[in-house]
Amino acid sequence: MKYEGYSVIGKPIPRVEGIQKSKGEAVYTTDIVLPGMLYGKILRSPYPHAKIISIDTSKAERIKGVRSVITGRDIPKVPYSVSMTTVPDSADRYFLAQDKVRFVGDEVVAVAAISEEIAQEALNYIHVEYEQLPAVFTIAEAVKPDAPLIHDHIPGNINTTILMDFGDVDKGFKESDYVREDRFVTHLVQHCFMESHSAVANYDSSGRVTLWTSTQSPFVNKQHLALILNIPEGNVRVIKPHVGGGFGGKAGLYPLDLHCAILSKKTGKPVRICYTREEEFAASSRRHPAEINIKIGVKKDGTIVSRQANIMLDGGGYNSLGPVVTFLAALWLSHVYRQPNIRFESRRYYTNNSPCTPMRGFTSPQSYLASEIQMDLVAEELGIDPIELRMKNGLKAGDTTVNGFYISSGGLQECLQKVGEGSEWKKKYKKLPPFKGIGMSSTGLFSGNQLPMLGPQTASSTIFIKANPDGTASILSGVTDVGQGSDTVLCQIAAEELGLKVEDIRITSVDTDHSPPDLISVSARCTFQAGNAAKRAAIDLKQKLFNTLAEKFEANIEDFEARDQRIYIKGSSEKGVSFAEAVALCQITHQGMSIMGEGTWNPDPKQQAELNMVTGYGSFSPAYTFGAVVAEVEVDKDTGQVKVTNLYHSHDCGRVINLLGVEGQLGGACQMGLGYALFEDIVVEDGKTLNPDFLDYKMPTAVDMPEMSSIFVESNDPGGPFGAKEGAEGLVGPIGPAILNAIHNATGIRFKGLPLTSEMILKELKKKKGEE
Amino acid sequence: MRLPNFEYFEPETIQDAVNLLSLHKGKAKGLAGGTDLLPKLKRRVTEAQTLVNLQAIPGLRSITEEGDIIKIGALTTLGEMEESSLLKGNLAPLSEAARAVGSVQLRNTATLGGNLCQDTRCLYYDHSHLFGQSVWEKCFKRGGEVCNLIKKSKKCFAVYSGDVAPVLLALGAKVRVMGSAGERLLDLSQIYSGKGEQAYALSPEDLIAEIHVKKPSPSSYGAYVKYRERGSIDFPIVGAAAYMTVDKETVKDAKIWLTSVSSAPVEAVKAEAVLQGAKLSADLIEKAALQAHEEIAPYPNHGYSAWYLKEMVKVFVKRACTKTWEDMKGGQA
Repeated sequence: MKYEGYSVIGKPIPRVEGIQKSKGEAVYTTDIVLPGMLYGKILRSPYPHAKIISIDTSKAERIKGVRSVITGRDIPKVPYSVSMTTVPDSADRYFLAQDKVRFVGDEVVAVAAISEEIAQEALNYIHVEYEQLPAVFTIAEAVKPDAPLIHDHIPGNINTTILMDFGDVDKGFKESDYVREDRFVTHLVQHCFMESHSAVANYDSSGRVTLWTSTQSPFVNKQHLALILNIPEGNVRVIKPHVGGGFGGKAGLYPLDLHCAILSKKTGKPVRICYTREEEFAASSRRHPAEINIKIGVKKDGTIVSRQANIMLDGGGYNSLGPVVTFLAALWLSHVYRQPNIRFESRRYYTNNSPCTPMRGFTSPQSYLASEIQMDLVAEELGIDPIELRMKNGLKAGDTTVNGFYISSGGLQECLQKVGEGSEWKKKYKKLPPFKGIGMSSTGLFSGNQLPMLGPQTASSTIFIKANPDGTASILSGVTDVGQGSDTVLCQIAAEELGLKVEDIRITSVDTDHSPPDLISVSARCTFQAGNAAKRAAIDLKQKLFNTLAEKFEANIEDFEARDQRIYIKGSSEKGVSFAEAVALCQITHQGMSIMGEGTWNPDPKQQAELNMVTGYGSFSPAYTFGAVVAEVEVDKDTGQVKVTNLYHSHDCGRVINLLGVEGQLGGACQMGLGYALFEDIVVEDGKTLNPDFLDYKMPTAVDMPEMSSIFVESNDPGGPFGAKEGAEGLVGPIGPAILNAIHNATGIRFKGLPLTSEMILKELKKKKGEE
Repeated sequence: MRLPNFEYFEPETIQDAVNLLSLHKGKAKGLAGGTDLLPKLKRRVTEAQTLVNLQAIPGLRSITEEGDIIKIGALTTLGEMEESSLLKGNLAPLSEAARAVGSVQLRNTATLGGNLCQDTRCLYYDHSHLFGQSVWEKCFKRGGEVCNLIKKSKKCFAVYSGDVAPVLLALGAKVRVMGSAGERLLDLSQIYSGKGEQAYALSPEDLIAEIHVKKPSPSSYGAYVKYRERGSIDFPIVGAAAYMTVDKETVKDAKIWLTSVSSAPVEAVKAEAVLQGAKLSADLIEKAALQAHEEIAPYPNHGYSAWYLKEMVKVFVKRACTKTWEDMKGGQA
């Protein structure tokens, strides 16, 4: 790899917080105990759809040790959605049910007591009288003309509709030599972060509320909690301790955040609530099940002319981040390939299932499953090698897609070529023995988004770096590391610019009172957007030091360089001064004032078309990434069980900042993609979850992992810090289609949906054998 | 979730343990490794006002050889069974079955006695009262009158899923049980009632002290094969144990036991009859597997259809017998 000239960029750097995490010293929200703290528990609806007739909490209130019991009456009448500020009419959820419940697990009553056991026990003494309503559990049921309305004011149970239409799709199909249409379905899975949702709130007598919470979005939570409580934003302080994973399931406020705040206000004591694993599985966040009808028109040589899709998402009972999820489900289909004519419809429906949220890759695993299996079908039909077909159509650097994505770097071709070579595709494709197969898929993702989620007055990312006279530097940042490794990346970027070692850089976790704002830790934005801010802050700091030194040494500031913990005059035989001496000198020159570098990153409207959320035109992201996966499988002909033996993946992450970090992320993406394709499935009957634990929800274990080979492609994005782009999220998408394509290659059977069980495969194998 | 409050005893003799269980009749439970009981208590699926910890009782945690009997103490961990030098050769299927259980962490804690007496499982049963009440109707296993799996059924369809029992049963193992009436030596098969809601034909104060396995003859070989989704943690979808004694290529004795197909381990007697007295061949094994497919009706309690599970009975009976035959050929070569 091209690491020349860099001291820390591209190196395998262990996590800056790794040792504390490994030794159990790192403090998570669940570790926080405050004096007088109470423990909360939530009573949830046992019914998928019901009117609340009455709630009797009197017995529970009389239990010794119970301090407060709250119901829908005790919370402000401000509905919530994660998009409540950007799409105000999307707000549809009260964190304690008002008049009715919309899924099994909907929050009805919250209790605070002196111990978790007493709070739990108190739930048994609350009597809620329900009048059950007819419920819908599938999109097909939700769209029936006589279907019950889940939200009275939303006709047809349609939560969000997105239409994108560019070029002339119908003309495109007419001009195509080959047109095909396929239907794909996907199932229900969950993020499975190690740390469940947890929060501690302390609403003190000054009228300020401090919230420690396991979240991806401290600044969004601060804004939203203030809106709901109708208090000034400055009266909400959100502190993010270490977080054990988010994957999209901790974006925005969750019901427990508000429950803790209200219970704390009522009792005058801090209150902590932690969801159990069962609550996570049955009533928290999930990936949207999708139904995708997709049509493609190509020329004889495989060139794509037209693409059309109708996407339907089962959103569950509430909105969450519905508008963005629905928008992106369509947007993914415009990425990766040159497609002159596209028309995508995407809709999210309300059902009486537990609400769905973004999950690693947003909705790209669903969209790529459809798109990439269809590409395989086209290749087969036209007799073109699947890699060749994708090579021919892949986007290249400099391209602008018909809906306005500007591809600033990279391209699909190098990823395809490298993964083809690495997997010895040509030697294996259609040449493996029976029941062994190889299949592939392309993928692509964005690198951050251009949405002003905190309002136009707040930049995407701002970072301050303070120089310390002991030769270290401290990063003040609002970037939310939820385990993805962004703290380490920011330390590396600062260290590289300042000529320091990673160990010389301190970084503190987010505290909205003291950290400069950063939007949110989603859409693969931290390295690109906050990384740029960190780089600029480090440059700013360095310039301040160089200015002082320039005066002292009577040199030009351009003559200085920072490396090896020292600052040198370029080309001089002098040893220069140490970083510590430079900081001390600078402070002495400025009456002892500390030195701070400042840096920010915001989308540049001059460079890219502003995103239009109505038409879908514009560049969603400042940079786009590409990737490709080849999967090898063995199918057990007696049981139908599939074993994935190898996953070869190439990923264009612009430039690797932390080699260990990116390898870990790609391995994690393989595990999550494998789980999605072959193992994981939330089984639901009448809205009730049958497998809410890690015994019956089959997340793949270490022994189930195939051999994995990571192939890095470094396209050096002009806008990225040191050329870096997304390196964490995108690879979940192509694993499923690559495996399903490989199963086809092994058995001749084409599966177009998930879940895919051994039983389904055996049934098809037997059917095929019977036909032969 | 945390454990509920309970009274705790740590008796030092098995008789004291039996007395304590008898004294708190029905409200006390014996605690060995705890891997089955403690999570159920945490989830409030089962109740115990009193826990009688058996771990302080000496002499129940060893594997010894007395003449032609191998004695395994009930508190022996599955991890210790995996490692035991006495469970090698043609007793290796016992240590393999122990290794097939759960994960390393579980096997280092879980005991053989607990594994044999683990609660039957049902997708609809093993959930906490998360919502102040179970979201499922009160089923047979919770003392109710319905089955949530087979909606109109008059009986419970919970499944026994132990991995070690089928091998012990194929070996004709006996259990030494201590109870209020003293000591009894029972066939292992006698402890299983076949009822999903109350899987054990033992009294609440009965404790398994020891498992006795008669060493198989040198011409006897066996195997345990397990079908599961993941390489670790999972209970079997189907587990099959086989033992065959063969003299000059003729099967003198055959035992086939299955787990995870019913509320108790099940013997495939008709499949055994196919093998008995016949000349061992691939065709014969195929016939026996087809016979097992015919005679066993697995409970569809794993998220799979009865059709598929029946197919898996055939596949895994065949694999168990084939592996036995191969080991036999390897052993005699």
